[in-house]
Amino acid sequence: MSKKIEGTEKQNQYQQKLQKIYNQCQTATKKIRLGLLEGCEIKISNKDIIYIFDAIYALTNEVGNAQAYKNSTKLQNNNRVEKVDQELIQYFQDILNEFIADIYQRLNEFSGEKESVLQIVSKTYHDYKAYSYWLYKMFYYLDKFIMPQVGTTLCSTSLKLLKDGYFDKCNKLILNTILQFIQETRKNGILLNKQIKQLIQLYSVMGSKEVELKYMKEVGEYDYICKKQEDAQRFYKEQFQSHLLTETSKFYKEEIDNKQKFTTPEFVNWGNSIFKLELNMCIECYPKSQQAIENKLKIILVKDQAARLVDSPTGVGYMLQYDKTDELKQLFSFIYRTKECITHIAKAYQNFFEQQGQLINNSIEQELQQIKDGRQMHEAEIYFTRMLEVMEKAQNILKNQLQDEPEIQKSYSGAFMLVINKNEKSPIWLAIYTDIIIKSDKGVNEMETDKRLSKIVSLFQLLYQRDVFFRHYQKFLSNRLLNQQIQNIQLEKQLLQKFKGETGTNVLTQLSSMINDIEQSNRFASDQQINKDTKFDLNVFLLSQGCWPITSIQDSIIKPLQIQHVLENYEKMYLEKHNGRILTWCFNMGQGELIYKIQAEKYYLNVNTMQMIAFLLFNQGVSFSIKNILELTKIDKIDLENSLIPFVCMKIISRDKQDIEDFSDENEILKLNMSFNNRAKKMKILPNPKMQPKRISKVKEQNQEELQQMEQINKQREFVVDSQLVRLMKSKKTIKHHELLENCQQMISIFKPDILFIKKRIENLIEREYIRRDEKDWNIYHYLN
Amino acid sequence: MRSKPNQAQEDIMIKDLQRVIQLNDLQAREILNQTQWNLQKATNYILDIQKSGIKIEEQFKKYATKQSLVIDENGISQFCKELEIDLMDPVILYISYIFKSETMGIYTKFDFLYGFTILKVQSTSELKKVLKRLKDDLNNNQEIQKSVYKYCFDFTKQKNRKDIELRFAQGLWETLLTNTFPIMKQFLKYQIQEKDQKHISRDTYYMVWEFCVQIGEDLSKYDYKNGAWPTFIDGFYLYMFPNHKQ
Repeated sequence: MSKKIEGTEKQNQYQQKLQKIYNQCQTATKKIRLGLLEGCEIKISNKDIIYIFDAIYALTNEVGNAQAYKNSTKLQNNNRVEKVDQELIQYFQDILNEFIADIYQRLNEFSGEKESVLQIVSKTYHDYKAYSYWLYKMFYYLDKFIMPQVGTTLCSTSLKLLKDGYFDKCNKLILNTILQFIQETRKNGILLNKQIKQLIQLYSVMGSKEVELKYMKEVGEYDYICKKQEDAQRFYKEQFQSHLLTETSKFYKEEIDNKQKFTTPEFVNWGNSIFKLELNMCIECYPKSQQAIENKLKIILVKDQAARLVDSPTGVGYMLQYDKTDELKQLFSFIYRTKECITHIAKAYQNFFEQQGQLINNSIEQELQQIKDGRQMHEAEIYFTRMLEVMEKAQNILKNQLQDEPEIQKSYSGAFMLVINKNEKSPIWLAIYTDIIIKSDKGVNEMETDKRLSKIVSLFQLLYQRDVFFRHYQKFLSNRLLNQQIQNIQLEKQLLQKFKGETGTNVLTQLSSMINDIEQSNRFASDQQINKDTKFDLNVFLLSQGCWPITSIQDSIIKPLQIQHVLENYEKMYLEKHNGRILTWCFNMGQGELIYKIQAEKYYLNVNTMQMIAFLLFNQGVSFSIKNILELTKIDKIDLENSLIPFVCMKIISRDKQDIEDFSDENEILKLNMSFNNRAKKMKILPNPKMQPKRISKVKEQNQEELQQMEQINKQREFVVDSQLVRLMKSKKTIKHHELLENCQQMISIFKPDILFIKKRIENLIEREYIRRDEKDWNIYHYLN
Repeated sequence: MRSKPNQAQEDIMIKDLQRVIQLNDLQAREILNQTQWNLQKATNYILDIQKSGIKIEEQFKKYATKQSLVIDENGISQFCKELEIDLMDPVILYISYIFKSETMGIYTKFDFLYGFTILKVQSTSELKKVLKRLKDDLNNNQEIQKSVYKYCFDFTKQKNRKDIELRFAQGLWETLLTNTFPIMKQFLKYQIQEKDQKHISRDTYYMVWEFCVQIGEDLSKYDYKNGAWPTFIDGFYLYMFPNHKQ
């Protein structure tokens, strides 16, 4: 284009060319529409398209160049050039509008029936896309050169025209049709017509301002591809999804109202089927709304119903009571869809097992005594055996049906903690139970032992007053360790290790040094081979002072000659090895066997050392006054009563005053029963509460002792809390009240201090000027160096 | 200006000042504070008080015991009588506070000298004239109230103890707090029930003030679980709301 041509002349030329394009288009579109009407593949020769394509190219190119030229020379006359472009665009739009008017017309004819609406809309939508696509092909160059100046594209225009001329007008109708189909599907429980997907497709593109139209050959479908997803999505949500959700919740709320009489399992089954159906529908028809629908359903079906389902008469309590494990599992996975609703199950679970535990708590007092393996069962044993059964059940259900959900795990420990700590005897009973278990452990294989130990530990974990437990445990441990028949050091160590692991801190030094003592003693004995040169087996336990529950040591007791030599020998050997240590003998803790010969019979008497000392006196004479015995042995009177009354009961010794129980008359004479005769040759004569005189003072003493012990424990607890508080304050310097409280509670594992207790200790520390309150914020404490 | 002395230095200076004239720690500290811990200035100040205080001394002698060392309880009731106030009137506690008197039931000569000088009066009759202003201050100025309240703990406390007996604390609460804080009437009722607590620590005593100011009548503001309230006050809360126990 080098020569300048007169404007109007040029214009005419353009006009002619345009007309030609019009005509060509007319023929082409007619062909397309015909093809669409027949519903078959669009048959249009490339030639037709290429011609229009080229013509538009030539025209736009020419105009474009002219334009560029003009732009570079002077800025005038360009409105006339633009006119050509506009006319082309207008023409493109006209063709489409004509089509739109046509399909709208068709829709209106059938608007009454939803089936036909569905058919027509999806068909025409498809047709329109196809039509637009081919037109787009023809007008391709328009898109390339001119549309960008107008700020849109052919495809976007096509969509906009459809929206304005068609979709906006029948939006309501389409929406209702879709919803009707969905409703029907829900009523029948089967997905009826996937075709609504086409209609829903409309909603997901209509909001977009910029689209591209693509033809997917494989499936023979045309589709708008949105360029800006946000717009499209917003439109979809506002125009379709919101309505869908309202309908959904309305529908199911009604359904649920009708299903109030369902039992929990029935409801769960129904609910599951709904979830399945809805998911199916989502995937098939409106995948974009899957999340929203699912959330909605979770609220309506799970969240709103969870409490009712769990607490209903056929809910969790019932399932647990009657072992409906499968139903429980289903209920769990149903409610698990909304995770926070698990609390309902957790609560019900906790309630149920609290009740179960409480039943055991209440019934144990009135329980008839039970016999197991030929011996009477201690109530502690009955109690914990039962409790462990319930715990195992709870544990199994937790593991198998409730997926070990952390929330329910908490309920598990919460329930049993409450129950076990409600029984104030738990600490001592657990000590007794542990004792029974350990004693019965001989000859059991390792696996079984481990199982038993972990049971004890699982109970221990739930116990608050562990310090009280350990106090009792210490006594039993002492008895076990000092009795060679039941001594099982390996096992004791194992168990102690487990307790240590639970309490975290090293509060069990006393207990471990007890075990250590025994080991040391055994080692010392085997090193020295001490018992070789004595008349009888001497087994000595070296007990560290302060580690064993020994209340009194009677050091003044006069040892009989028979023992004296051996003991002195031992002392000598020990002190040689460990110079500077002090040894004292605890006669009341040792045991031995006496051979008692009378009337040509030999009896083996199982006694403790104290008894041995007292009874050996009768080697020197047949009868002694009580006063005499006391003087000759220097045994405490109460101990003497305890020691010798069993002999009286077994009729080995006879006494003057049968009618008095205790040895209150010191002039009373004790005599050997020379005509003693018993079929049993082995006898246990160990002191035994049943054979002790009733002492009023003793009951009082015991009570006092208990009080003292409680006081002692309380003192210890104060120390523990104090030290924990000071340690925290020392490291933090400044700390908030509740933080201090929480940290302190967390750190203490040996018992469970309540808030009041800690608060009192804090006050005490303030008074003792370890810490002070902040002047302005009294919720803050400062550490005072 | 010297930098502020440390605790030990302060104690020495207080001792030094006490050698000049018989005055208690509170007064010595107050005077030294006002003279920026300049011992010379403080001494001068004391001597000034003494010089100008001949008339006040006469007043003192009027109430003092025969040995004329201190004013004891009889003297104090005479003093109150002339001021036309009740012995239990809170304003007498405020006066003691101004005097910086150290022990309850006793006024020393310097208490009088110091207090009268601070109040810029020369005699009991003049003191009576400013009594109304003092009463107003005590009733309306919370800062003064707080200072007097806190002062009273030490005032009541025996020297060898860190806490005060509950009955004394109750007396203080009744005189100082019940008028301004009606909740304290309930609080005092609660203490009739509370039998374990025989003594009140400084912290608890101070926190009762905070309780009055911050919680007052509206117990719904009371944070039983997370608040750092002393257990004694917690006890009151539970007395009012027995159901709130965990």
